[in-house]
Amino acid sequence: MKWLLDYLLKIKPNFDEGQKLNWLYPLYEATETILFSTDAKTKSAPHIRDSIDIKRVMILVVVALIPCYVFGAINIGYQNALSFGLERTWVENLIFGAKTIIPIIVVTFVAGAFWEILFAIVRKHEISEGFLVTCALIPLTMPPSIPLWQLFIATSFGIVIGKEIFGGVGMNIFNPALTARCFIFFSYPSKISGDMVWLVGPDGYSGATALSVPASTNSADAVSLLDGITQFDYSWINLASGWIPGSIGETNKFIIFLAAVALMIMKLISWRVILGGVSGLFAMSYIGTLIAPFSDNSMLSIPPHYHLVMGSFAFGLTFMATEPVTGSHTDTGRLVYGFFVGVLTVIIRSINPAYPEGVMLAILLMNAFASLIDYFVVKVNIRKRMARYA
Amino acid sequence: MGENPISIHVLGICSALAITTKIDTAVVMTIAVVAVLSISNVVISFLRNNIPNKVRIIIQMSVIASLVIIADQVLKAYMYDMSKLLGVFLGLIITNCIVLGRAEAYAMQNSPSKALLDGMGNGLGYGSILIAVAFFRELFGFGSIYGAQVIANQIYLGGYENNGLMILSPGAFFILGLIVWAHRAYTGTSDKH
Amino acid sequence: MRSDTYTIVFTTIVTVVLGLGLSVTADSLRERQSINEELDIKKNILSVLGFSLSSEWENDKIQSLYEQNINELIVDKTGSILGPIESSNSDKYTIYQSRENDKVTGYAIPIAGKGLWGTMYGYFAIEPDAETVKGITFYRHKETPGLGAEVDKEWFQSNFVGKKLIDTNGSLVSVEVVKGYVSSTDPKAMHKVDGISGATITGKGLTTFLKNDLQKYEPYLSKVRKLNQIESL
Repeated sequence: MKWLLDYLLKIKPNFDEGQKLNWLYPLYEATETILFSTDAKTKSAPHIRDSIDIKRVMILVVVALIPCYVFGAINIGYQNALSFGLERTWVENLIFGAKTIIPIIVVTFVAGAFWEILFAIVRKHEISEGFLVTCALIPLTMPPSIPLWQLFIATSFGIVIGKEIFGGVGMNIFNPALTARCFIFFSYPSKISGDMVWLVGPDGYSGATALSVPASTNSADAVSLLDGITQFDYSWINLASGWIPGSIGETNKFIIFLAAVALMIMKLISWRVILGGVSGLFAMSYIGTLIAPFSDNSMLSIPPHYHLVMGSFAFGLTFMATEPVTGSHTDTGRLVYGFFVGVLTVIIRSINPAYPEGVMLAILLMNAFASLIDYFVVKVNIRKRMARYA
Repeated sequence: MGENPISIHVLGICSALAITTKIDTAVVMTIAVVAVLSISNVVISFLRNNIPNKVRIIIQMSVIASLVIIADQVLKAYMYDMSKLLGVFLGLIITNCIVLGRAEAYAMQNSPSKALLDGMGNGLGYGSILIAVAFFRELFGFGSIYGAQVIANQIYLGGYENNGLMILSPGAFFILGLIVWAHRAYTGTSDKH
Repeated sequence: MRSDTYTIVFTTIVTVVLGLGLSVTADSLRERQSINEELDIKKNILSVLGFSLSSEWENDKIQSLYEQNINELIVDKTGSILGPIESSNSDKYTIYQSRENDKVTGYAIPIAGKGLWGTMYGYFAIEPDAETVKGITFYRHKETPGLGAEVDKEWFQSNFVGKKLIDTNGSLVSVEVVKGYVSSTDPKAMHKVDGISGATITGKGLTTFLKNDLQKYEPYLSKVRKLNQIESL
């Protein structure tokens, strides 16, 4: 490795102020710091008070996403085989899925890198590795059947509108990956609104997603409705283990759970957000089951443990809501913030007639409220201290 | 262009969101705003030495409101389909701060001929942004420009879809934001706080 | 500072002048406006009944086409015709009968009801046999662009054409907008049309209010069917 460092240091003067290659400095800086550690201090959130810097954090999050990609690929192959009625081994499924996923990943990274480098050069700042995590997350939230050109536009929108217009990493209000997802959701809704399954299958093949089954029938018990579906296995254990059609990375809740535990142990994501989110979801869906007998809305009868494994709540909470920049920054604030993500998810799922899934909108809405929550937490804290020392 | 009411002062964006889904509505809206703004500026400029200071805002509002209602009535009589499309937003020109703003800030101090030019200039500046926003929204949202299909059918068959977000109000926000961004970056204007 | 009297007099004069101006404009334009509103309704009825003009919809052409071919009938709950009289009674419904060369070519009825975001208004046209759908149009709604707003599109509206309103026993079943696609093996495929993906609520609403509105006209339509049978015998 020594020779590489020597080489990098040797070519460094070429990128200094006034030199010919100065405009490419951001590219040089990114290469140097991604390979070797840096002595730079962080200027804005997320602040890391440890020997590791933002780059290592981001890399670890990306590593935690890899199992989701692998399972996603196998599942795409599996769902495809199922829809055509074929028998395939898991290796064949993996290969089929990889062929679907790799173009999606490539397009996302090309779009993300293009805008990131463009803005770094125009604004003369360093390339932020934040876009790596954003670009690693975006494909996982997409249906495998997503047209690549839509993906390119959505990624550009997420990076530019979700991040760059606020001034780049650390300044953004909304999670850029979710902004991209949200853009797709509202721009090209006919296939992405979430009431039909997404899979790479024969033309015209369609079916209802687990969440849209109870949404489309009135006055029925959600669990018995789900058990009655023969096209897909919508039992609790299968919903949790993810052999259902869905977005690429969100179906297997066990893998997400393991990733969440690992990231929490490494203190890369806040356990408070997760705890708050799960309790919010449980509390609200429990209230829902209490109201259910008096309403003809079958969504209300979904029990809490089903809500946990249906849709992309687990994925959204683990990888999107916990993002350090756009969430709350105080400890109590994180609990409250997570709690409302859970509550709003259930409310949007159950009550809103148009959108069967609510995680994305719940997190984006709470992103907007995150700093308000912090403000009140700080206010309350100040008042408590005043009372104590007055 | 240095003092464009939308891109510099960010005024009057309410109707800019609502009626810019297609170019033809934006054009009619522009004409209505230019007409109301110029006439109200001229009328108020004529009266400027006689309007009692205490009630000047009320007088300005009644002149503007009457003109807007007349514009609305004329449109209903001669361009019925267009008035259905514009709906309540034509009436909302009354609340458009640009009209009252120019009356108060310019017409009250200047001669009728200058006020006429000011009204037309501001109206056209406002309209140019409306039409620019409408151009992008119609192109991406419907695949057409001024009602004529420009995106060929083959492209749709190849998997292209119109962008639904552009037809929704947030679409206008994003386009408007990008135009303001580009304009300010070009002229170097920024809010000074 | 001017005196209060001046202020009051000045304000009064301005108000009176503006008020006069407004009422003169409103009054002089009123006639044209009501003609426009009427023409708009007529245009919608003509288009749902399948009349089309090769050129633009010009006002006098709409007027003459309407007068020549459309017959406004008022029917009541029992299905008897009350004649072409205006009535505010809610038990009486207007039906538009189109005629060409003294032969009935179809019926149109107004339909309205809740979609996802608001009330949808339109017309529904039926063939002279009083059981086959001739067409459907909407002239006002607030549905989501790209989803519910697809009800305006040719592909959705043309799905209705040729569908049957009544089953083999002669009772009303209306036309249902299904979720997804109508399977060709479905024995009830004649009463179903493809839904708009992602717009389940719009479709459900449409199904509900279409049936409600048809029910109001069913007494009259069933009489027409009986008459048709007698004639064909």
